[in-house]
Amino acid sequence: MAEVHELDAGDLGCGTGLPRAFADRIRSIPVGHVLRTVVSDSAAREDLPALARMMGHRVQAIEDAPDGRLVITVERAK
Amino acid sequence: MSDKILFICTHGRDDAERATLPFVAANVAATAGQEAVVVCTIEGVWVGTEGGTSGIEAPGLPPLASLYDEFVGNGGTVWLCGACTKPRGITDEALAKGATIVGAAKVVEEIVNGAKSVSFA
Repeated sequence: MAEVHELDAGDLGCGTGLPRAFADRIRSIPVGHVLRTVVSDSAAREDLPALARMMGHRVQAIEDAPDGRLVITVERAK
Repeated sequence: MSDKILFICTHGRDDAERATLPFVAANVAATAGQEAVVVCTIEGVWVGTEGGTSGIEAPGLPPLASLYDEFVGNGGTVWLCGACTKPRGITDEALAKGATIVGAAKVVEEIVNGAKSVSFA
């Protein structure tokens, strides 16, 4: 089972630093580990998986948390 | 590989002609069976909200409201720039049929995968 890391991205969005925060955080974990990003910006549902795929990573899940936020789970693949 | 054609729309009520023209072109693409997306940014994001097209009509062009409905009915989709909806207070609850809020990475990924884009300056 791959180790799971967390990124609480708060209300960051596409224009307010979410791509940078995600990119920096996933580069900080070992290849094969998983990053679970929690974010309130609804645009991230489409955006963060697209960014992760372009970076060569594997999107494992996009889920709605009970509090209305999104949970996007990505495995660092390279 | 993406077969999408992205039509960029940067205007709404502030410029009826510039708001409408991308939908005219996108609707032609959708009618022809192409995978057409109107990407709305800046003031254009209002177009993808409930009631956001009402009253927008440029001389010589169809009312944007009917054009929008026809486009979506033809299978077209509308993407709203998330960095533009956020400062305008536009949330998922306010969206019109066929509209989705997306971020830049979504658009970039489509282009990287081969999508074509058309813009009307």
